[in-house]
Amino acid sequence: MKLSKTIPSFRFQIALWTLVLSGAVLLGLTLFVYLSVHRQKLELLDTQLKAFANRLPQNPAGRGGMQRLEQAREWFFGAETVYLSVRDRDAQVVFRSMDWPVNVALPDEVALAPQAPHSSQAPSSSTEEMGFRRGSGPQYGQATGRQMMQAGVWRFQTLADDGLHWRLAMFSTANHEYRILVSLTSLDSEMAALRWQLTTVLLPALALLSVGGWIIAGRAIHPLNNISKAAEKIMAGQLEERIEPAEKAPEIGRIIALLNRMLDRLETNYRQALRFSADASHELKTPITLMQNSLVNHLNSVEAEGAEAQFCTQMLEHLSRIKRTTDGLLLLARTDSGQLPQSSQSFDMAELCQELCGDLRSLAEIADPESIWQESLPKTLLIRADPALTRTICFNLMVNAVRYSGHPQRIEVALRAEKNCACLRITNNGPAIPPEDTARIFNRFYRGANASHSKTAQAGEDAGSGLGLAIAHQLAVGMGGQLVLRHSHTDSTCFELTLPRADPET
Amino acid sequence: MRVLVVEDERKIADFVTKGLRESGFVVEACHRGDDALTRISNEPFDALVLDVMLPGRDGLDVLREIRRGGRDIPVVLLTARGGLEDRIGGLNAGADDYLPKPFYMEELVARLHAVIRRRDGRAASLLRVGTLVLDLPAREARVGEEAIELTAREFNLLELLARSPGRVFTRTMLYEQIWEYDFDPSTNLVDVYVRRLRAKIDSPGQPSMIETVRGVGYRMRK
Repeated sequence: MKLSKTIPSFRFQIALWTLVLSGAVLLGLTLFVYLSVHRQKLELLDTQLKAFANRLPQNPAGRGGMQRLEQAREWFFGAETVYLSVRDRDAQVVFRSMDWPVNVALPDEVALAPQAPHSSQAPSSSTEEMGFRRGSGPQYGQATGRQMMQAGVWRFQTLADDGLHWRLAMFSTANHEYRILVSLTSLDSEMAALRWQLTTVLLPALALLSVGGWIIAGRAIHPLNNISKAAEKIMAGQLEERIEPAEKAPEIGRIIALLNRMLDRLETNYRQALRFSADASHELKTPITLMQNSLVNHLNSVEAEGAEAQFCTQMLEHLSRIKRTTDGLLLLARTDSGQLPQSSQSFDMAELCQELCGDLRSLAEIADPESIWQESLPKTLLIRADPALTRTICFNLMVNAVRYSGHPQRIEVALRAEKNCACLRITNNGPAIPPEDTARIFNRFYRGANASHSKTAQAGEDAGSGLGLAIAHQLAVGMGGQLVLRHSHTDSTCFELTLPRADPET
Repeated sequence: MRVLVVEDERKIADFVTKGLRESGFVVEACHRGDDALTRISNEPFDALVLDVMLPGRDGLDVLREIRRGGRDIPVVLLTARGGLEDRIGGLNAGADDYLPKPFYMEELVARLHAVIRRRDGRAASLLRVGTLVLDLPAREARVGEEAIELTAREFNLLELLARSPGRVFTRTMLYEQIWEYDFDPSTNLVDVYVRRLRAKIDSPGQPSMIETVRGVGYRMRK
């Protein structure tokens, strides 16, 4: 329960990962398309610029050159106006369009003037700057080269100025350096339109992905939900409940088939166990009732202190032992099959202990007049458990303490409240339980060496059914508590029973 | 006092019938749940001893049907299953008391008396044996005119013995009926209680009201 609060549901996780993965792929693809389109458009523009350059006069300084240059601009077939600037080898501007946008900072206009280096000194690195360069952010508006162009070498660059983009193409002939500047405004607005189109497609796609992911995750988990719903019903006692087969998910379908088969077996076993304890109860208790009452009647019809009366008395004792063992075994059979009858209610454990201590103290005193019996019980201590079963546990523990104590007998019963539970410790001075036996003391029919040393055993009488601790342990666990052997050494053996409090301290 | 015993095990029905007759009840027996319902609606009974597992109709079912019909007859349930849910189920269905098998006849007689007494108010509330008088609803004891202080357990022990004077109770029987624990029968807690009781109710010089039956147990002197 607590886990589900901190970790989002499995369905959410699946949906989220679906969205993240497919969203990332989609975004990547969109970006790729966008950039490709941008590049293609630039390349197209560059090609146009080259075609335009081919029409330029070879010698602008020659006669009529200026005019032809000015006219050439009109041949350009792009939507944008093209500007032209021509310099000679000494960086003198030979020609410049009248309406050249002065604000555009050209990369090497300033640098070229004083240096006026010769083309032969151009560094090899300039080749890297040849051809198309992607007009990515950092290079906008920056001067990327300071040397004169080599003849026939084209250089393209994207410049930014006050939010406007320009494409600058530079090439040089033997004597001149040409600069062609064209505005990218229409390209930018085309790209903006594309961006908008992509966004309007991408956002619904992402929304669709998240909804789809959520639905798919839900469908994937659906069989699991069926399993847990069925399990809940089964826990609530509807044993005939089965999990709906998941036909669309063969993997889960296999698990469901297996679980259903397991449930069949569980149900069969459970019903058998249920029938067993009911049948066994009936079949055993009816003859016991008859025997017991026949014996009592016979006892009252013969001479009171005669041999027959004593025989009847002994038979009644044996019968009593059979009854106790039968009850114990049936109780264990019921707890084994999970049918432990429980009425969980709030009651005073201190009062219960008080009552039991009263009887057992007398018992201890009879068994050993020098016995020391110590009690430390609170006035009240409310626990939440089944009163009858709690009584059985406490009684079994106390009887054991009396039965297996040393001489002079010393028994200590201490009940105290802990934060969430009531803790009853019963300590006696019986012989230590050997360490190798401590794991087995809660086993059925376990009788340690101590049992055979007990006073009753030495007297040749019954030393308990061997079920007392097993029953006490199983009942304690069944009621949400615990029963443990705290310690056992010479002189002191302590059992500790804890049961949930009705009013735990928060 | 007419009692109907509904029990499908013939042998148990027989000894219960016999035992109740010996205790002064007028007893009829039947073995099926549906028969029981017919008889209860046609004949006046003062109490009902009802087994839970019955052919025809289940004991709890019979009980619910009786209560639904508004009949206020005292009912003691008998069952082979000593389970707590049976007890709660039985009491919820409207039983006055509940006795798990195996039981002693004396126990059933005592329970039956108790539930009838609870219904009737005062009837049969005094138990007299010689000079000993037990006021059962008030849980008070007197010897002659003298009131005797008894603990709950001492009173229960005395009541059990006094209910059947002359009848022998072994220690085992007393443990099972008074303490309701699975005591080792070899413990002599009963002896201690009997000794205390004797000290309280016996007059000096007289033979004890509670007689020891050597090697067997105790009985109330008639």
